[in-house]
Amino acid sequence: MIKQLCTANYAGGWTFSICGNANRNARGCGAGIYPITPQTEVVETMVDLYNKGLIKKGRIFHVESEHSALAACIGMSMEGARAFTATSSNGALYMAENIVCSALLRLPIVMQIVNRTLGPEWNIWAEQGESLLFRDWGWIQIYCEDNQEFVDHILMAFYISENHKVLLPSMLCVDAFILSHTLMPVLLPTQEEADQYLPSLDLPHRLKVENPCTVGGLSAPRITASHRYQMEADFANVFPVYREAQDHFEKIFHRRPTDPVSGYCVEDAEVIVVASATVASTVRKAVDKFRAQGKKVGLLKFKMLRPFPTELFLSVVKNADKIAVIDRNFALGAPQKVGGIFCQDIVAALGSVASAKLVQSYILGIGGLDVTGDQIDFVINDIFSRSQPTQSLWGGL
Amino acid sequence: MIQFRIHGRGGQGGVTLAKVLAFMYWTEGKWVQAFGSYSAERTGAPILAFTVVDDEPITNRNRIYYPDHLIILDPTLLGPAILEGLQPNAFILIDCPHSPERYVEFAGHRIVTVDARNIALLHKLGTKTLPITNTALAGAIAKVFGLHFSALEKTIAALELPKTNIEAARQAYETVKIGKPTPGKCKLYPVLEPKEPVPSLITGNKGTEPQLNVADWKSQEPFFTSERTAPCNTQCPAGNDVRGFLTALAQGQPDKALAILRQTSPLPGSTSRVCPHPCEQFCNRKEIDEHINIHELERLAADRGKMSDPRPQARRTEKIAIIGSGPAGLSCAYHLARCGYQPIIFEAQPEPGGMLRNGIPEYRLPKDVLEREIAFIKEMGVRINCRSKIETKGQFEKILAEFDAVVLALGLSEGIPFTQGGAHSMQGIDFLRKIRYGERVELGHKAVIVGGGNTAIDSARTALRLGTALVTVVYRRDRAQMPAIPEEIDASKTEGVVFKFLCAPHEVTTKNGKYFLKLQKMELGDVDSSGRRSVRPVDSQFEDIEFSTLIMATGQKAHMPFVDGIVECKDGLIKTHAGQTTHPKIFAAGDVTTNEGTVTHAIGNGRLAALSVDSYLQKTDLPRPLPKQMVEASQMNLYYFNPSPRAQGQQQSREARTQTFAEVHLGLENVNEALRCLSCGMCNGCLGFEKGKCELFCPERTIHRLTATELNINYQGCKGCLICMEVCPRNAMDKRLVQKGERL
Repeated sequence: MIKQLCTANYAGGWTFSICGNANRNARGCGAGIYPITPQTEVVETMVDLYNKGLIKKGRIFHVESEHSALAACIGMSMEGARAFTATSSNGALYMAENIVCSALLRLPIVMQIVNRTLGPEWNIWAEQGESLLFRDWGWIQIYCEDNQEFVDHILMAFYISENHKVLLPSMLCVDAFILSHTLMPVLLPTQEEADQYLPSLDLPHRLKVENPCTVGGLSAPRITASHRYQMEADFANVFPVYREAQDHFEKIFHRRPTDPVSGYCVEDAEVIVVASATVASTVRKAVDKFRAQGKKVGLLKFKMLRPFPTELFLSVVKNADKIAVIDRNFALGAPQKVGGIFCQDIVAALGSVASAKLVQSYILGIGGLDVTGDQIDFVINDIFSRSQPTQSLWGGL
Repeated sequence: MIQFRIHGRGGQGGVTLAKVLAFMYWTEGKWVQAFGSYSAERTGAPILAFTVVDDEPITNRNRIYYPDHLIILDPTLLGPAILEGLQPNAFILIDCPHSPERYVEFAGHRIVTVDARNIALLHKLGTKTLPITNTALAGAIAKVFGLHFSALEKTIAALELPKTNIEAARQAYETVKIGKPTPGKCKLYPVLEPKEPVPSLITGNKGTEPQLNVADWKSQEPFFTSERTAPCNTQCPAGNDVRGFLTALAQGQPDKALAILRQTSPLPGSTSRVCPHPCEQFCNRKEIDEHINIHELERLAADRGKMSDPRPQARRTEKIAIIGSGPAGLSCAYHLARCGYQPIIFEAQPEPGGMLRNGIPEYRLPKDVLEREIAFIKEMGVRINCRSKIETKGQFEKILAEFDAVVLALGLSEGIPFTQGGAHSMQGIDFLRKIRYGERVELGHKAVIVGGGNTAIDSARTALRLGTALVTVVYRRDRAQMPAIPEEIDASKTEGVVFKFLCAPHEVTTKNGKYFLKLQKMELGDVDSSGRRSVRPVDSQFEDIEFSTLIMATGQKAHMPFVDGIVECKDGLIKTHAGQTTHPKIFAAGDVTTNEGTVTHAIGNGRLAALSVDSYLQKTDLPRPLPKQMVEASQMNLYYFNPSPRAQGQQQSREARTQTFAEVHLGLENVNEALRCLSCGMCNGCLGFEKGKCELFCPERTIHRLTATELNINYQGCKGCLICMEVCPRNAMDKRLVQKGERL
């Protein structure tokens, strides 16, 4: 590993390039890129490293839009290349058609999303709107807490997505500026380590001259339905492959990436606060503070939203009476006015168990509002004293 | 844990400094975090950056609300706001050449100063206008916080920065001035007003969104300028504010329009009828369709506007004599009266007006228009003594002794002598005067007029109106070289005047009782010093033309035998400097000084003489307004204006025109033509549009309408983007630098 002080964007640019180059003995790698604040440094770094000759077999396409950026990735991936890109906010919306297409074509593309508020009005700060818009169309979704987790999950994502039991694309989400532009110490993989960790990509349905075929042509309803059912079935394979990826990672890097959801002080917790991405760090500090006061509170860090790790989740929260879910996102007009998307999923995951536990939704950090320790303190105090759930509670207005 | 907060401006490298600091501490084995507070990333906008240093891994995901120390890249940012949340006894590092003692207002903190800007300049880091100071500042910080300099050397190497950075950092490391801790409490701590919370279910939150006070960023701002002028204004010989009166008319305020005109001219009714209107010649509207009909709008303002009370408060007692009541004399008297004097005009003729009355026929300038304007001048306290011809030196010296100042506005009242033709030959200037005074003049059936100026054309058209069957104008150059007003030449042709060009009178002959003028054929030569082409005779080519009356209009000269030896003359004109002759007490104005030959020039000239007299009598300096920048069409956004046809007043029919002396032009019916004025270089509030263009395009909505012709900029909201200036249709906006502190 290379110990370096860098932003998530630089770390992404480096790690994507290293992982891409790890496929040089197979069909190479490639990226279609189009810049958007706050993602720009990622693609700048890729181009810089490419120009320095880091990538031995592959290409970076400078295209005219996000739609084309992912289209280029789709083309390269169909040819068996390891394809990756990055975007943010409205850029992802412009990509929409090809985001869905990548999953339906079962291409193991890995994309970094720098979570930025959707506009108008223009707002460049962190919110999870754009990645959650694509929650339901076959992408594995990872929400990263810090720059190191992001780097680790780029490696993991290629490993998982390219597994023949999975073959679905991965979306790695980092909070705008809070990670994308913040310098912190990171262990970056060397080329040798990436080569060791990642096997060459062998896409079973890649286009071959010797076996000409049409991809994405007209399909009968039953065939489409079968394909969709197959995707859902293969989504379940992500969990064992994830564990395999963790094990393999530990062997090579001597660290173990955390589970799709992971608890902190949860064993005896009466109250569990659920948070994703960088908010988890702030909650962890608050948990320490409340534990010091003897309050039984724990953190559940929600990392992988899709596929939803239901069993793992239920096992973490099984002892808790109350669950406070903090969302940096909001689904307008939702049932019971509970608009936190993680919260909605959690309520669904609890199913019949839900009636026995109190689940309250909190909306913090919309539009890039700073989610402060004060706010987390409020959430914890509120959930302890709460006897009935109510609609989503908003903070920071 | 140490938390630094950096205050700088976009482009200064504040975020990079945060990173350099982080690297420096990281090299020393600390855990670090560095980030900027990102907003619209604009050069010059205030930015914040943060560096956090700790012995343990840092999991902070927030902005830094309670910094331990501050680093100020630009001293103009110093103010209460930067102290928000600052912990007591903090180091405040300021990039400036001063000593820490200068900043007494930060009592309770420790000021550190380093001249990083000049150090960076010395080591050629960045550019001259934007030196990159972050490595020098890092050197100062290393010193203040007791870091080994090698940490910084390693950082600069790790960041692959040029070696000169190490030298700059070392110089800063060695020259940084650390102030002593000062007791007391900082007076500048901001009083933070609690934010009004939006009704929210979770309370107890701070307002923590990035600050977007865009007005703070600006280094420049727009304003509506009054320093630009329009072509019409620069061209007006009388110095009229043409643009101003047109704007007033466009608002439907003829009284205001007239008042604007009367600031510079007492005779707008007369000049609107007789001036060759050079104002229209360079009108920028020509680039869209046609020039504005300025002269007929001036006439409309003069005819319909109500004059305000003309009587000035007399406060000057000095006695001033003006000789001659032509436009120059009247203008001079008017402006002197406005200054509070009560001048006396001596006029040789039975009625005042000079050439306006004697030289310009009724059909161009009706008598009642002139008399109304002269009556107004009289009401202001000007006395006009008619039939007071100054002929002898004795008379003049008596006036000179009696008055404190004398203005010679004699005009050019005599024709160039021509002795041939006897009773059948006369001077145009005399002919016109006789007709004006109602004398009977027999012309016969064939009138020949010699000359190319306005007197020639006026004589020809007057002759036609007297029933002369054939009126011929003989001119030695061609049409293009004629000094007469082109519209007047056209009108005379329409009425039936015949022109013979390139012919010069040679001699008068008689045959069988008939008179003939022998004409010498001429041809054009090169352009001469007057700007016109010279002429030379074509050898032995002559032509005879019969006439019953020969009218000579080949130029005029001054009649002033009494000034000999008192004031200096040159080429028959009085020499002046800013209206003053070589005799300090004697001033002169009008054609007798310039031979410009138009009423409007004489009015402007008369005003200058009046100002000169006033400054002489009051012993003050002559006001010298700075020349203003003229706005050209290419500097305007003309695409905002739709073409619309030029309005033209009605004229009498051709038949009516040859039979009577009734005024040919009938004038405009309404003021709509004034709405075509582009108001070049002066905001008119985009008159006629609901919103001003600047108001429409301002992204911060800081421009609002005050009145129909005025817009206002709210500088509290203006971020200085200058879009307003770019979109202004009439180039009426300028920018100025905004400097809040000691340097930008």
